[in-house]
Amino acid sequence: MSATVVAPPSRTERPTPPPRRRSRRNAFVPWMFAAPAIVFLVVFLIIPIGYSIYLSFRGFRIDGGGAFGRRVETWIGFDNYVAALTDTEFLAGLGRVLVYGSIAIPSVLGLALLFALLLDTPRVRARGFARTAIFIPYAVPGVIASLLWGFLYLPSTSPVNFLARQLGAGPLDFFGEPALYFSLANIALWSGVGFNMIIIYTSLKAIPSEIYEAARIDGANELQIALRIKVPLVAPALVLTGLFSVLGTLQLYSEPATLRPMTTTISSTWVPLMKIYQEAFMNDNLGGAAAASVVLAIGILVFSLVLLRFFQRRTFGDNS
Amino acid sequence: MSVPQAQGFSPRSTFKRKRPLMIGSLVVTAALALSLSACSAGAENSSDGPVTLEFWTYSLKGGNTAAEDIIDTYEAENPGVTIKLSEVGGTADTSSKLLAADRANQTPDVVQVEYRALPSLVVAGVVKDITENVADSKDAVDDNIWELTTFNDQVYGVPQDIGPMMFTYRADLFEQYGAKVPTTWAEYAEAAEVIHTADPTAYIASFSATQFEFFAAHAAQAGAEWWTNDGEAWTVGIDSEESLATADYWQDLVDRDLVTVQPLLTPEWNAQVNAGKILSWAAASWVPSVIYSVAPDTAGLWESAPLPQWTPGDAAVPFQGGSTYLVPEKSDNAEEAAKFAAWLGASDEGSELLLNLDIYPGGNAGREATLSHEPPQLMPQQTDFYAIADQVIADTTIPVTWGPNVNVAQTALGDALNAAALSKSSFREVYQATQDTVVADLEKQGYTVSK
Amino acid sequence: MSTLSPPRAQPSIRSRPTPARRASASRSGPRLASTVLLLGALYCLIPVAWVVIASSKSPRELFTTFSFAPGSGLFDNLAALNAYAGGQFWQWGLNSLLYAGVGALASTLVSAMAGYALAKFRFKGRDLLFAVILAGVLVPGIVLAVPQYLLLASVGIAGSYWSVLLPVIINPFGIFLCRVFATAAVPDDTIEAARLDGASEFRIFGAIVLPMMSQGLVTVFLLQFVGIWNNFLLPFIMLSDQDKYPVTLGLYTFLSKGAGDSDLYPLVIMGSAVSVIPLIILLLVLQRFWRADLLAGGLKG
Repeated sequence: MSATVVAPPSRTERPTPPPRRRSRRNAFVPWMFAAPAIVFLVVFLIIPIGYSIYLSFRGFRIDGGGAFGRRVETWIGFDNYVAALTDTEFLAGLGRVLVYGSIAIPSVLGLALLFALLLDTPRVRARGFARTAIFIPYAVPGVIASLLWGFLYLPSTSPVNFLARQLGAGPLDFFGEPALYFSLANIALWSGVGFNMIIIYTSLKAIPSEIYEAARIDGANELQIALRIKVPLVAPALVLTGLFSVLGTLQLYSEPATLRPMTTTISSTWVPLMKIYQEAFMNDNLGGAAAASVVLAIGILVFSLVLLRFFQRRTFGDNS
Repeated sequence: MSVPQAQGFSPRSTFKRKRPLMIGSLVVTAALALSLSACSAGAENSSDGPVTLEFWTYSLKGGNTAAEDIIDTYEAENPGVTIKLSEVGGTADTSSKLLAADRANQTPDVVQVEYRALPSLVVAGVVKDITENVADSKDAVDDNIWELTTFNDQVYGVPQDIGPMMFTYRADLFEQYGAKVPTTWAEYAEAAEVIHTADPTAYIASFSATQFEFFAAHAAQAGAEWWTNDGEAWTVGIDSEESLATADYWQDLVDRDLVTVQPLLTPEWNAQVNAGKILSWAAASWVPSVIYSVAPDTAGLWESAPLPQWTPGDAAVPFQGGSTYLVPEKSDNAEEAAKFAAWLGASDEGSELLLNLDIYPGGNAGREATLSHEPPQLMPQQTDFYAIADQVIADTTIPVTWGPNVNVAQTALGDALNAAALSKSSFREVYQATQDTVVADLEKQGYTVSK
Repeated sequence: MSTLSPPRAQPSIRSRPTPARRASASRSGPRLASTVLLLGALYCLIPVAWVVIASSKSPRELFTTFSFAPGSGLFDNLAALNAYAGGQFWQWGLNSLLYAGVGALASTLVSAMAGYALAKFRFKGRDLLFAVILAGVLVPGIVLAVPQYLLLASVGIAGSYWSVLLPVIINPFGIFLCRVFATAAVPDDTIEAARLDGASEFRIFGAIVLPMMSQGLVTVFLLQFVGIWNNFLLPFIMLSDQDKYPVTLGLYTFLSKGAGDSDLYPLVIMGSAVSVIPLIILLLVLQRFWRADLLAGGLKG
């Protein structure tokens, strides 16, 4: 099947408008490729979300009298939403997550940026080793990471406390507020910095070196090059990393949940997702959990959109 | 999906012809796989043919010889029945998975949960009433134990093990510090003071806000009943005077720094027990095996005694802990399942075999067997351990009734007590707040709660 | 994996990669840089070292000896791990391999197809589709877990291997990444040329697009592999047959028992140490493919 009507494609970057004969076929082709993803999306995301929303309007009420009447699922309207929105613990959890995020996100991104810049410094030693070593915590599952940091935080098993005792200082309380936020952020930092570092580093590697040459000729030293040239050029990568970090932060769950049995300072609803988990799995209140999730998801969505708008104006690139 | 490697872009691409074939084969494969999986999921069901019982338990671990013994024995005596063990976690995880499984119409056949979880599962409609099936076993189990699984004269489970309440302590350290082994809670407080004064880094015990069952039992021992029902309405007594008195008691000890506020069985707790900084644990007879597993080097230094009392000379105590077997409502093999549960929990053979799992069997035969059993590994020198435990059971005349929303109460009390202990605020108010939360939750669900 | 780095990679700015050329710089700069990097490496490696050392401790040593003093129980712990439930730990390892390997493979393929479609074709509804896919990132797994379970149970496959394999195939971030890679790595001219030669769309995809995207696909595969391997909530809600557990769920069951069963800390630690090793090896191996130049893709949406 050879085309006769189409102009040679090499002249322009974009594909030339296809002849009408092809346009019908072309219209189906992308949908065919996207089809498996769409099917799985609908089955495993859309339908469960829809079902969750449906559940959020339902709850269990007693049917049949007496002390052991059976719980039956029934329509309860907006009760679950009212409960979620008036739940002080849920809202307090949101507050805690914001505090945590304000510590964790700048640390992770800042450190990742620092390490990436350092890796990109000319004639730096041990580049490969450091890059690999910093990346390794990514391989450790969140639950295990929290468990092992738990050991490292608890006074009697902590090497830090061991050192402190040798030096005569008292046991450090990693779990008391406000240290707790830093302790949790540390786990996230340890787990996440390598990953984000790699991303920013690859972004750095893509910058043509001519830019640096020009700057060096002008007499700039490495530090100035780093701050004035490199950082602005990786800004888009930073923004996107930051956005996803925000998403992850608002969905903080496994670190506080795993550490909770080890300390008295983390309640069972310390972050919103713990509350949702508790409602769903401990209290058998799927409807309540669903409503709280909807509230949380809407909050995350709004927050992300605001952030995106804000950064979209400042950095180029049409992130969708 | 295999893609032929490009050799050239021949207009007569064979790929186009292969495509429908590929899609067709994909569909067939998927259908085949799905149907195969559907077969493998869930238990087989045929009331006359061979039966596989799916058994969720955390006491019988696969690979453990004692557990395998039990399974082999039953299977030998009941040809055609196979038992499949599964560990799905502790009581909380087991309950939530059972509820999910019930909603999916795909439940196991026998499930082990602790007693306090049973009522909430019953009102969720996921537990089968097995009164008829296990009626014969009633005589093999003491009344005060059989009651633990009976609600409104309907039996919903067969007791597996029980927790006679005992006080386990470091005999050597008590002697070293000159502390008297307490027989009343007042003496307990005194001993706490003696110990902590002698060694400011040592404590008589830890105070863990999340051991809900202990607080309930402690209050019950003082005469409070946290949940009761008359068949129609529930009454919640968390804020009764007797109950509040126990709150005051612990408040006093925490305020005076005579107990260390931390959760149980954390690496920190384990390290302190090993180092002799936590000297006792008031709970039940399962304590020795737990302590042994984290502090085996301290074996031989511990002893167990009956729980301290509120009134000198009293002996009555409730149970703390222990678990039961239930049969899910939607089990496909309910009869066989109930038969197995009754055998394991109540029959002579079964309950004696349970003893090998290091738990305290609820069946009469098992209890008998404990008397000639060796003492726990933690206290090989205390040969009268089981005799004491047996006497405790005879004295266990205080019932503890669990309501349908134990989970809500547990998390509310745990969170609030932790916060109060940290900020040194009123435990009394915590109990009252918990009362309000529990009552509100019951009413929201539609129960009648009498004031 | 923490909440701050869900398996999401960020594309860099669009630029042709060139090797950085060394320029003369002061001596102290690189040394300081190296020192800081090594400190960072130390910080990251110390807890891993702790796990390895702790796994050599017997129960009695775990809570009594100094953190970094090696213990004597390495082989005992290994033996106990091996003996648990008749060697079930290794079964769990195989399960994890199955779930992560097959799941990541399938997910990568599906993502590649969708990413290609979104990147290289203009069609109505493209932006909406992309937005819906990205919105999937907003939904926490906990919310989806129970509805997915009920859905699969109604079809009768809950509790089977499929119930853990199928839900992970949809990976919004993987699709996002593939779209970026497709945009960056596959020139439109090549595709047009192939079309002009009469190749079918599937052939173009398989013979041209996939090979060009291959190193990006390795990235997506790696991320999804690690994500699935470390995922715990989905298998927890789907599986009750212990033989089908992945390693993370198995280790979790060690930790969360009934009222009095905590002799399993050494097992958990040993199990963790053992299970982290394959992942580290995978990372090290795949790092060779995962070089700097291949993530250089456009940020253009």
